[in-house]
Amino acid sequence: MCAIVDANVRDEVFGRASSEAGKFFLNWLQKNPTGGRLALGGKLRNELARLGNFRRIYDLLRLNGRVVDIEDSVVDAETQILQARQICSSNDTHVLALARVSGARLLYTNDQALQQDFNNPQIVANPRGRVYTTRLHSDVRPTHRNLLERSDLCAR
Amino acid sequence: MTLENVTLKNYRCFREEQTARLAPLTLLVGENSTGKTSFLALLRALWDVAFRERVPDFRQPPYDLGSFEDIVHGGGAGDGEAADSFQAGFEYSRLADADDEEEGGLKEVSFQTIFKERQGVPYPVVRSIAGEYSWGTAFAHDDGSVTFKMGTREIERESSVRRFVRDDEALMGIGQFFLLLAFNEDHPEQEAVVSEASIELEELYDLLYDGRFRRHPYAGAPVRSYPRRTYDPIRPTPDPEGEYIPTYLANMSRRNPAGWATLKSNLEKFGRQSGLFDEIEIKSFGDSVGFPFQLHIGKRGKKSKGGTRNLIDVGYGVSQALPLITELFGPEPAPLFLLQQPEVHLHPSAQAALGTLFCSIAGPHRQLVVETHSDYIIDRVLMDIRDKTTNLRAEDVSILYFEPNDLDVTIHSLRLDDRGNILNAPPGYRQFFADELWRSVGL
Repeated sequence: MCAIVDANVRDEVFGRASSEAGKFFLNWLQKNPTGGRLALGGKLRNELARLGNFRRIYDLLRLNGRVVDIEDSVVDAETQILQARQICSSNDTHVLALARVSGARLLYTNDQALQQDFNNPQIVANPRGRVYTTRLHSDVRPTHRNLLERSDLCAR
Repeated sequence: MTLENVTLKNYRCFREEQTARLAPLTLLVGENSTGKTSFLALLRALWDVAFRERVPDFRQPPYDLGSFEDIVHGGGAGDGEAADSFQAGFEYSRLADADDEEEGGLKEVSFQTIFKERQGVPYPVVRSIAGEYSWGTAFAHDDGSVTFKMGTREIERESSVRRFVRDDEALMGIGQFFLLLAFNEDHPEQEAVVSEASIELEELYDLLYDGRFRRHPYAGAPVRSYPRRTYDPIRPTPDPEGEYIPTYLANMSRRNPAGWATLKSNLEKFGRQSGLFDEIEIKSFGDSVGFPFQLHIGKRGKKSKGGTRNLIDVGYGVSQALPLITELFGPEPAPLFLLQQPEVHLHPSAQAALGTLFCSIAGPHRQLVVETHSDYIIDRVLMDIRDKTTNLRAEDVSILYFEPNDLDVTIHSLRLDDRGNILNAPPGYRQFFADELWRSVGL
């Protein structure tokens, strides 16, 4: 399973302001037995890399085989295609484009507009996208656990 | 031609039958005492049995695995019941290079062997080789005789011949059996089998007697010889520690100026890329091969100034790297390199440069199997695959992760994609590093 971490939650996953659910997600990323990996590429790479901790953690995850690194130009091209279709309500088209080209179907975000787009089968499909969020609860809830126990959230 | 898909069972810490994928560049990773060096020793042993038709010596430097009891699973430790044999084998195939394509025909051959105790050491009592259509198996008996059977997959018939072998170290060549069977007029049914399988068997025979495979693999030791201020020429017989390398270089510089120029250029190119040195020179105390000599190393400053210094007066990393890179760049490199921790004593930048060097030279004619604890080597390989800085492709790299599980070890064959992403890493892979980093960044 491949997952994407949105820039608006980078601190609670990779930073010192980590939430319980954020730590839970990071530990899953390293230890999960289902082969889950972090997808990264395009504009999101720069957004996450502004956090110093992320760069160190990303380097490690890459060596540990926990990363799906997509060429930036591929994500950028898909972003342009999505923008031309004018079906996204959020301004994070690059995140949706990354999901489409990497096959990631799990998104960690607290952005409601992006969540709606990610759940829109016209944008992310086969299978439909699911969202891991701490917008309402930052502790680990059954919904968080259930999402990370799934092995089918990947289009590849 | 490369070795692929090594299988093993009941060997050292590997109890279960398992298969490890080899590629032109294979990296062995895992904690200490998880069988990585034993795996290298097994590759050399298999090579000796399959291609050189010799009884392998598991105590030949740089490895020393001891007697049969120490090598078979459950033997030396005394925990549980020891197996009475261990098995190993491999597949090899022709890769798409120009020479092999012209030969056409046979693409894949598998070789399997069973070792049992004989006079305290492992002896290959069964050797089996199979192509896509036909197979041949040699059985060594306690009375010194060898029985050979062969057949095809479709007609399920066997033909056999029996011979006695007097040499304790040599194995009767499987190719010899093919000939014996082919010309055995007393048994026409054998001719039928031979005839039906003849096309493939001829190719098998050619393959077994390929001169390239008659050569030794290069098995390097983790610690190389100490540098000396002045060298007295010795007989340049290859050894795992590279004791002979200075004499080898000195002889080449005197006897083969063209070869020396090429080797020197390659060594200096790597020296610059790794930051180890810019120049290498032989300073002789006489005009002929018998005179003492010194190895001098030059490291220039930013203004391209600076002379050379004796090898012993520069960092230890240079003298440790020199035997390895000389072997890799040599005019007649071994077809298979078995390297233990080539990163020892090297700065991270030089370790990374080694990663690029491995990517540059690994291929069908120079297969590298590298046991390493260096993230810098591995990371450079991943990046070189991603950035396509060499001709090596993702499928040309295999990472073998040796995972301990109580007293047994499981080998995981990790693959890469063309972005240098590691695929199919098991849950425990590099957990120690994650725990350390989580702690370091305060998570």
